Amino acid sequence: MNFTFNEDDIAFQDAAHRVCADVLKTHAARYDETREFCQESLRALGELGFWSMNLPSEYGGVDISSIGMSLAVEEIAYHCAATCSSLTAHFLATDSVLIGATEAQRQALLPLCASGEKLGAFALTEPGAGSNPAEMRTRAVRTADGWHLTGTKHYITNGAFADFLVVYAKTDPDQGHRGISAFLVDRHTPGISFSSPEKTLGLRGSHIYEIDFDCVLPDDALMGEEGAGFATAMEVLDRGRVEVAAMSVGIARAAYDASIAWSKERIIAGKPLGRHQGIQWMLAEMHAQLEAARLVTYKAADARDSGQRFSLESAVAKLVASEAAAKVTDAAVQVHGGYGYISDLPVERYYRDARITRIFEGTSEIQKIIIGRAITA
Amino acid sequence: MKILVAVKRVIDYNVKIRVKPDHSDVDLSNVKMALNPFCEIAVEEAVRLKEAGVASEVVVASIGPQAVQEQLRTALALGADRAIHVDAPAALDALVIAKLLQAVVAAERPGLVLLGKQAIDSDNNQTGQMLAALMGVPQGTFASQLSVEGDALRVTREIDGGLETLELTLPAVITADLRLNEPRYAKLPDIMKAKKKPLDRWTPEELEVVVTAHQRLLKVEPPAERQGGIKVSSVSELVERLRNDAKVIS
Amino acid sequence: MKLLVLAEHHQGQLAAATAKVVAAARQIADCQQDANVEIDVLVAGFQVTEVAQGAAGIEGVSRVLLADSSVLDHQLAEPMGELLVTLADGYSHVLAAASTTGKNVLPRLAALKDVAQLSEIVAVIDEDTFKRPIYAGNAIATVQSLDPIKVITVRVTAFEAAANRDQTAPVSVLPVTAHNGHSLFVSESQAVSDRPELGSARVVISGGRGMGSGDNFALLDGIADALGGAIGASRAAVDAGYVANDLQVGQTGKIVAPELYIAVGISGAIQHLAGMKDSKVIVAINKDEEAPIFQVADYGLVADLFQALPELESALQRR
Repeated sequence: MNFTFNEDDIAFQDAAHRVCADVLKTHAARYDETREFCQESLRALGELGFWSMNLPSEYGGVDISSIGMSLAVEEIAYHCAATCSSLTAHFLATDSVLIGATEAQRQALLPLCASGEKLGAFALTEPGAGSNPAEMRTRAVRTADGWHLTGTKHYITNGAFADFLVVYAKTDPDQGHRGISAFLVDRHTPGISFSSPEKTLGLRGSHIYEIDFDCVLPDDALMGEEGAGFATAMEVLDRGRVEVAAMSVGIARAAYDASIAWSKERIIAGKPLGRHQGIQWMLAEMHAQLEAARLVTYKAADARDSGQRFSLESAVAKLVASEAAAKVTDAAVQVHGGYGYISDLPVERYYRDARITRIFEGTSEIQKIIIGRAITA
Repeated sequence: MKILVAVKRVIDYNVKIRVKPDHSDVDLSNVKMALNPFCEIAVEEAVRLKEAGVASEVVVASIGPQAVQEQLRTALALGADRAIHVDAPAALDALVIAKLLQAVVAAERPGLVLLGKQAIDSDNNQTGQMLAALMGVPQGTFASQLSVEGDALRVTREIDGGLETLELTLPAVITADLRLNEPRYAKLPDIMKAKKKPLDRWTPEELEVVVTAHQRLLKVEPPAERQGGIKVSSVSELVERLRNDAKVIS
Repeated sequence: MKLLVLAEHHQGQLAAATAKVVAAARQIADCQQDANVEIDVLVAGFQVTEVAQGAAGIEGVSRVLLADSSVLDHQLAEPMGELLVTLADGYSHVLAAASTTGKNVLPRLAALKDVAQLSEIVAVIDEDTFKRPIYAGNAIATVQSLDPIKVITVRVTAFEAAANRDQTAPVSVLPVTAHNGHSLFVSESQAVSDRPELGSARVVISGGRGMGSGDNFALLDGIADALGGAIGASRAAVDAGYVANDLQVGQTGKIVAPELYIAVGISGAIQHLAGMKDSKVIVAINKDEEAPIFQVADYGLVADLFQALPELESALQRR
């Protein structure tokens, strides 16, 4: 066991810290207040190469370890969780291409995604198929003109701002999840319509959309092999859960740091808040929860680099870290008292931003199913 | 022209410092360290001079234990061409640092040496001036603007209440102030490339500099906390108190 | 014991900082029970005879050394350093204000004498030992010099100026042999403002995020003018885009220690306190009575600044 980071990981964390503390931090409150899309922050990260963190160097990536990537994701979420959500959604799209696409498709698309020129969206979830993708209704039918795609996806992060979407659709409805294929869809394809962004509780700078498809795609829009979509999506989500865990750690750490600073600054009954034992207990719990979340996240990231299956580790990390983020951000509001409830301070935003981490990319309950199946198999 | 930039590893400027309970020093265990912000501005200026075709090579040097290589790598990622690590204990006197840098200068023969105006830990604001004196060359401290014109250097300095412009012969030493430029952020691919750039390690012995102590740090304390005063009930009471009790207004 | 003080002067005027550095020198001298204390003041520059006469009138000064030469015009670091090196032997301490001139020149002297420098001392413990702020004032270090000559810059806000006296010290004119083939003065521009410079103003009135907008900073103008003060701002106000960055008082901005500091609509974040907490008298005006600024304020007024400021302005003008 070695609990130190290597020099690459530290260098990436440092680089992320610099740009996040300077740029992302200045926009985060505004995005939240105005619900403006986090474009500016996302672009700034793109120009510096952060869109390529999940890719190997042959596709324009930087060959960063999953630990280094987790540290960077954590840093981004610490300063602007909305930007982090849009970025990790982009990773879900590019991970899909990396895992499921043909070599030609990867070569054509991924370098542009790595360099910050093309933003992706990952379109799996449907109004009637959230936790169970096998129930999806979106259909792709091969016709003389190409693939005819029909159906509705929802809660799609980046949606109308994305340059391309990875859309999962049934090509053979009789085959259950084996009948699911993935498609690379240009955002400007005629026959795609986007809702206005959903009014969300948190992550307001990261827009999510409902998208209707009734369009014809070229033959080569099929990503990789027919019927391989479900396997691709599951592998993508294993990876994505590590990023959600890292994001949860980032939000939790922001709330924790704010609370520690507040507990030293704020004077109650003649002494700093943090010298009151009742508050110390809350801070101690927050500290322990954050530490636990951090360790399972790094362990899952390490497992992801090992090349072995890591569904169990990533489910544990996602479950523990997102639940910790919820508890820590809730406690942060409590430590701040009334100040925690108003938007002058960022803690109420952390509280709202953390809430979705227990839901997206598989709810906590889904993670328990994954864990439960793995440990009783 | 070759430019040498000297940089320092310091506590990250966002970190709130804590004094050790035994008052021996500031507690640096488990705190985030970074490139000193003024040094970063110096690196940026050197890289810009290279991009403008004024400089041919940017060499970055740092003095301290192994860990300073992290900051050298940051400087390499920002565009420096190669790095020199002078392996020495942390927190040496500025005079010793200046002597070590003088030895590096003697070996490298740069046309220009750039430094930050001060480190945000020791707040000394000395090293550049000392180095210039030891080298016997002119200095442009607290620089907010810099241009090379032939054999001369034109530097605008931030002085109390205004700006001063000087023309210096080269070689010269420049120390960077906050407004000299806005440093870029390192790009992830450049961080990876920085690993492949040359980094030489020298020792004070090899540079023939004797490391001696000129000062002794006896104690480090947190600043005295102010005692709270009184609340006044109105503007007129405030004015009355300032006039008659505190006697700070007439 | 002999101490040398480098006089601070601008445009033919002796700066008030000089008397404060002399005060620091006297404190050092007082540490030693030596009847033969001499404090010399060096006035170096071009056409600075009047400055020398001014320095001669500072209480405690034994002798003024006048180095008047065109080569010393604008007190460029290279000839100034050379001059100081020729003078420093025989002095146990060489002091200057931690101004941009003192900070520029003194380290050159220290290096050429092979001694370290003590920067920006705020207190004298004994003749070798001093207190100085580190980490932007977030810690105070007690440092002992092991060198034969102590080269020191002094944070002048930490010392009470030595008084003036009627009797003046003798002025000796020094021959100046320093030359300068390296640096050339081109131009100087003083920031144009009717108000005093933020760093040296006797009164500073600063606005924070509570000001609500950049336009509302105009509410501070009349008060600043009535008190002959400078206007400052908290980082929150700068970050919010209300005012330019050069008004920022705080750890990352200017560090001020005026006689009177008025904080308006400033909550009192640690970073701001680091920049103003050495002010002699602090007034806080804030509508939030729990604001941390009140913990450091000598006089706190819990009030809506939009009512309090016009009231304060007219009260000050009425006198």
